[in-house]
Amino acid sequence: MTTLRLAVVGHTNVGKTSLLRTLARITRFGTVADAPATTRQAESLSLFESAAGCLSLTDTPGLERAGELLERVEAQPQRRADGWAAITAVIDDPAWKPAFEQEARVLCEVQTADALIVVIDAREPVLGKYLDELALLAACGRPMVILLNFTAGRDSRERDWREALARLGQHLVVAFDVVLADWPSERQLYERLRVLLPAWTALFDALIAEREQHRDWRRQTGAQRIAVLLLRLAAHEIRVPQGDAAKRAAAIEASKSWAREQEAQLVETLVRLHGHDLGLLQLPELLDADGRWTADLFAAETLLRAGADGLGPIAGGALAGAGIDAAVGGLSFGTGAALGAAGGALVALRNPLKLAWRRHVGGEDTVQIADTVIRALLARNLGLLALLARRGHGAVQPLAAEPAAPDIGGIWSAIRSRLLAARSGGAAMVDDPESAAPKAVAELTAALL
Amino acid sequence: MAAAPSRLHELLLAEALRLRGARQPLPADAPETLRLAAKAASPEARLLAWSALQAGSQPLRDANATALRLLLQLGGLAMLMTALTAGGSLSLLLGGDGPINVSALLAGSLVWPLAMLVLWALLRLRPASAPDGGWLQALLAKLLRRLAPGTAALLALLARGAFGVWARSLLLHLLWAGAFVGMIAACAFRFTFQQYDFLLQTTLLTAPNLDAVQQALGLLPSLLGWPPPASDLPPDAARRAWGLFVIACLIAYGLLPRLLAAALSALLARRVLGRPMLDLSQPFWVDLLLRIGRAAVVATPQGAPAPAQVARPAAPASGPDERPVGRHVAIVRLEPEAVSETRATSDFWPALDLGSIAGRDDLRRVAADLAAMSARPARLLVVASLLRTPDRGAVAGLQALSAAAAAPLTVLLADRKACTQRGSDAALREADWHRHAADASAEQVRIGELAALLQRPLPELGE
Repeated sequence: MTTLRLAVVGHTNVGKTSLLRTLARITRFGTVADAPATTRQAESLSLFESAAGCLSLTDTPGLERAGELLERVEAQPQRRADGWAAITAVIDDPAWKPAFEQEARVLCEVQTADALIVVIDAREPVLGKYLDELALLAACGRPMVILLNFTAGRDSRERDWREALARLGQHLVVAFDVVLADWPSERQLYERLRVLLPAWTALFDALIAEREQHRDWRRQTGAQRIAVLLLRLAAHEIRVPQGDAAKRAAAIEASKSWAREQEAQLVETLVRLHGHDLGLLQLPELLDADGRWTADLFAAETLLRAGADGLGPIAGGALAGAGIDAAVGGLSFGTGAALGAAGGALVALRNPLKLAWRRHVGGEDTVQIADTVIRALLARNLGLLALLARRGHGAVQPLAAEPAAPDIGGIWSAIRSRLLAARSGGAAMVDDPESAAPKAVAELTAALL
Repeated sequence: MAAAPSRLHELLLAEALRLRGARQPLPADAPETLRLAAKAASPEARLLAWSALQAGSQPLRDANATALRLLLQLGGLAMLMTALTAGGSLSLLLGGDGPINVSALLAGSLVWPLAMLVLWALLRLRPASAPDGGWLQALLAKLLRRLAPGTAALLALLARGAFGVWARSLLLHLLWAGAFVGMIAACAFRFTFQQYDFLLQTTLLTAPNLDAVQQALGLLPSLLGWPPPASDLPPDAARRAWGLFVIACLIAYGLLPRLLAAALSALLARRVLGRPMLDLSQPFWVDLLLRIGRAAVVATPQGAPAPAQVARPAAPASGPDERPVGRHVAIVRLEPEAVSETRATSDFWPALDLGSIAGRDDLRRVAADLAAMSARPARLLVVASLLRTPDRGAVAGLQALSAAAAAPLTVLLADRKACTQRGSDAALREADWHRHAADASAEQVRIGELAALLQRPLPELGE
């Protein structure tokens, strides 16, 4: 199988290793730190394999003295006819070898690569040393795509860089941010490479298709895992003899522990699903080292943060019925609204009536997970899912604060009746909702997406 | 004789422009002015040519002329006062009609030379708080400034090395000569209108004891035509001979040596004036010479033989840098976030802003400027941003700048807040910069902003 070798090059500490991590969705490749010369040796990884070929990326040490090297290369007589010969004349010169050892290592990798991804920190001003690096790499005669990194922040100088690169005749430019895994940007990178390397069009087409499938799968699976847990939480109940306060308190504690454990498992699943490593995720404000939320699910603050309930079933039913009344021009005289409210009441009161029946007729108290808790769990884990989907694998900086909880009012209204129905799902629903109620899981997943 | 005043006036004008430029920014020079100045051969000649080309400098010329006139008038007045005081005091010493003891008279005439020596010693006293001269000189300078505000340039020139020494020497010898003129006039007056008897011997020393003294004392006046009086002269002739002998002694041992010394001082002062006089280590001159040098490079047509080397002599590749050390601190911004259009200035230390380095060309330009400075900077201050990751290229750049400046290197790490806001670990970045600055042999690394540093004295300059 033929292999397309791409070398990732650029100045020191511009995020080359982080880029590879983000593209490959792995967190344990190379060393990433906000310091110069973190990568000392070239290191390759296989990004993708298909029938059309194999795509390999090579991480390289950063260029640091390209300006001085270029100055000496420019003094070589053969610099115009054969840039690489002029470069080798300098880097093989014993007088210069020690000074440009690191640059020589990078340029040798460049020479063996089919194309280059030149990474530029777009937060940096357009300095001469970066332009020198581009000139030096251009002299190597390899096709290249310029990747402007760190473009998501407010301090990005993407426009300055695009103008400067255009003046140099470099138009294959992609804006990216290794801290944020943004599929449109990533796709643009592959498309640029496809334009640059037409012989490898099939490989990049397959890569783009695979990445899109994988992205959809992650979204779908993540939503499904949350949906399953919501149903299990809704179906969970412990019955205790009425009036036995000790057993009731124990049942409440057991329910809380169980819910926390279930949520921790969900978090771990979501993190793994996105290729992150809990130990490296660096979300100290959000999750502890074991993947548990730092804010307790049952704390009042957590519940408040999840927001107030949306329309209840009664009001929702009444509103739906009123819509029908309006549609028939009021000829129904409010019958729609009344019937809607009655239907909503049946749904809303089904569980309280059931619990009241057990209490007063069966002599049992029932401990369940409250709707507000389920709502809080849904809100914060949907937020985590969005965060994980956007967090680049090369990001090393911890998140300073919890991301804003998504507005789940609409989602909650859509799934609430399904969750109420799950209250009577019994042990089968708690153990394996996917087998017990596959339709409910599918509906909830669709609502969460 | 006409060349010296002309050069003095040129120098005074240049100094006056420098002093004005240090107080307030001068208007930007026209490229033509700089190019014309660049045609002069030596650095000082370039500065003088530049001064001569400055439009609107007539008020400064007038002020300088006034200051010179004032100095001459004050010198003449001081001479007159000295002559009157010395003559008056000697006249008092001669007293009434009694005999005059020649030994006492001649010894009394030494009071003024001694006073002059004391004055000279006081002028030489140089307390730490007055680096450009002693306290007496500072007092005189203050008086002069009050009498004529435009004397600053003249005072600056008088305070300058050998010229100041010989100018002060001339003044003192002229004052000394004035004192002797007064004493001689007093003697001549008293001896003309009064009759005195002259004695040489005292209570303990008899005439035979002092015979040798008299012969030795009379040696120089004899050469000038006034021999010591013979012992066998009749009283009237002896009085006249002794009177003339005393006057001859005052002329031979007092007035003539002072006039000779004054003439020698004047000669040497003029000779010194012909040598380079401007203090090229002054930041204003350093900066101006750099600008003139750049204009010379731009003005050279393409294909001409390497003018840059003439305009900007490179620092010696090996061996010690023999340029004098100036008082200025050269400031260079290494790869800043944004190129500053305004030049850094400080009221607390002489800052010379060489601009920003954003690439190889800038580095070459600044290194050439540092190497071309007429005086090495007292310190090279490189402002680096903590937003930049230090690398081996930065180390090489710092080394190149440091070698060209031949001055202690301080690296000022700026933009700490912006570094933190970007999400970087500022402490880690500082540690990286410390390591790289040490590789470039930086004497010290400071954290802060240049704007704040300009607002206070620099301890490393001893200020």
